[in-house]
Amino acid sequence: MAIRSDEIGEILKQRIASFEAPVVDANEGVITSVSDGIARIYGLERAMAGELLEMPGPGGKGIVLALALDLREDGVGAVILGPYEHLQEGDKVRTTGRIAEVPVGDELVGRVVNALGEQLDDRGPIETAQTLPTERVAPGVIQRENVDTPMQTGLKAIDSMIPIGRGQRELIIGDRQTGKTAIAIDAIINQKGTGVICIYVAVGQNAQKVAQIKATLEQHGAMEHTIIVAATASDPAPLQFLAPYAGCAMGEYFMQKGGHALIIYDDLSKHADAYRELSLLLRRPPSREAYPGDVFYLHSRLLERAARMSDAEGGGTLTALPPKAPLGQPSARPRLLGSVRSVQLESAIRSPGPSAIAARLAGACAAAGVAASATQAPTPASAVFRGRPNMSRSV
Amino acid sequence: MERASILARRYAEAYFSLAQEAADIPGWREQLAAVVEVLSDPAVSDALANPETNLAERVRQGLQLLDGVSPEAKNLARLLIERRRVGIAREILSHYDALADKASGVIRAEVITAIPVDDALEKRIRDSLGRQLGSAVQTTVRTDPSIIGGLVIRIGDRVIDDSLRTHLQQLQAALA
Repeated sequence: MAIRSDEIGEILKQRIASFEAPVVDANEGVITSVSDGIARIYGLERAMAGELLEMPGPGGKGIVLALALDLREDGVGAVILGPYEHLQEGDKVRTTGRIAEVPVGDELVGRVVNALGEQLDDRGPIETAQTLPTERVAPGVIQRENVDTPMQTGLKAIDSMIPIGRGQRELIIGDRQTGKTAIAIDAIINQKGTGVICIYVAVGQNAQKVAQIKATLEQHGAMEHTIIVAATASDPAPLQFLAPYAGCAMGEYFMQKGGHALIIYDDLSKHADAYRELSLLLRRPPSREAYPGDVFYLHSRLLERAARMSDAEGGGTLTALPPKAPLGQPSARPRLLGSVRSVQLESAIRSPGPSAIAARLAGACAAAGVAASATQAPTPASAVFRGRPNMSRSV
Repeated sequence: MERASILARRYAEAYFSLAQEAADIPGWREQLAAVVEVLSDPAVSDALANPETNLAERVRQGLQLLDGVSPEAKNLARLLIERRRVGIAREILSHYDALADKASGVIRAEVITAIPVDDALEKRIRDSLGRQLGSAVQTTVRTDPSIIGGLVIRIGDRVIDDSLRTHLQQLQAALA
C-alpha cells in the first residue's frame, strides 16, 4: 500500500495531537564509576532487584538500559545492556519501575531479535502488545501434568529409542563438532506444520554461524515458525546473560495460551561463561573454575520453566533442548545438570580416514531415513576447509 | 566512594541519636557544624593526617583548635582524628541534617523551572506538594532553561519530571 506524503504528515499530526505525555515519577541516582560494562550508581534507594534503569544514550541521544543486579547499602551495581563507553561519572540514572521484561507475541515469529527483543533483521520494527518478565517462577507441581505427547525430532534413532516429549527437557551433550546443533536444527525443521513454535537462542555464537542457521531454516521453510534470539560473541556479556531468559519468556507466551513451543539454548556453556564474567566484575566471590556459586541456579531456574501444563492451566507446553559441551577432559568430566536427561554424542572411532567418515555418515543417514543434506554435520571437504585435520569425528 | 557515605551515615546516626536523647537537635547541630568547619580546612586536615607527628600529639592539636565546643562534639572529633576519618566530616553533617529533617517530618524539595517563578506560584507548588506528600515541604527553587518548560521536582532520590524537554524526548521515542 503506497502512502502519500501528505498522509504521513497527517498521521504524524494526529499522533502528536493525541500524544499523552505521562509525568515521569522515578528515582534518580548518579553514576560513580563505569568500567567493563558495569556501572556503580550512588542513590537509587528504591531500585528493585533486576529492575531496568535508564541511562543517557551515546551522544546524549536516546537511552541505554541497564539491569540493577547488585543492591547495596548505599548504591546499586548495574550491568549495562548496550554501549557504555560514552557514560561518565556524574551521569544521571533513572529507575523505570519495570523489572527486566521482553516483548512477546506472535509478531516475533519469523524474526531475528536480540536479547531485548529488538529487531536484528531488516523487516521493520516489531510492535507487540505484551511484554513478559524474563525472570519468572517456574510452574509448580500442581500446575503440571505428565508429559504425554511426543516432540518428534525427525531423527529416527532418537524418536524411536529415546523419544522426547512435549514439555520435557533433553540435554544434547557432546564434544565440539559432534552434531549437537545439527540435531537441534533438525528438530526445528521437523516441527513444520505441527503448530509448534520454535525458538533458537544463540548465546556467544559467531554471527556467521547464526546467519548460516537462519539460511538453513529458510531453505527448509522453517523460519515461518521460528524465532531467533541472537546474543552473539561480540554482544556484551549482560546481553548474552539475558538472552536465554528472554527466549524462555517468549516461549512461555505460547505455553500460557495453551500452545506449544520448542526452545533451543545454544549453548549454555557460553551462557555460564558470560554469567561468570558478570559476577567477577561485580566482585561476587568466585568458586570453582572462577564460576560464581549460583551458576547451577542460573540454569536450573531456566530449565525448570520448560513444562507440560495441566489441562486446567491450558495444556500448553514448552520443551527445552539445550546443546552443551561438557567442560574439561573426557576423563575428568563433572556431571553438570545431572537431573536432566541427555542425548550423548560421542566420537565413535578414533582416526578414521575422510572417506570412511563420509561412508559412515551416508550409511547412518540412510538408516535413519533422513536426507544427508538436512543435517549440518560437515562433510570431510569442509572439515579440511576449517583448517584442522579433525580425525576423530562422530556420526 | 560508597564506603565513605556508609561510614558518614553511621557516625551521623550515632551522634544524632545522642542529640535526640539530649532533646537538643539544633544545638548539637551547631556544635557539629563548628567541628566540621575546622576539620574541613585543608591545612588542618593535612596536619591531622601527617604521620610524622605522633597520634596523641595530633589529637591534642586538633582538640586545641576546637576549644569551646561541646564535649560530645569534641569526642566525635577525637574519634575521627584517631581513626583517620577526618575526610568524611562534611558528609557527616549532611547526613545529620537529613536525619534531623526526617525526625521533624520536614521534606526538602528542589523545584526546577525554566523561567523564574514569583512567590505566589512557589507557594502554590509548595502547598500542592505538601498535600500530596502529607507533610510540610520546604522548597528551594532553581531556574534551568535547558528543561525548556514545565517543571522538575527533586525530593531526595525521587524525581518528578514534567518538563517539556522530557515530553519531547518521549514524543521522539513514540514517533520513532
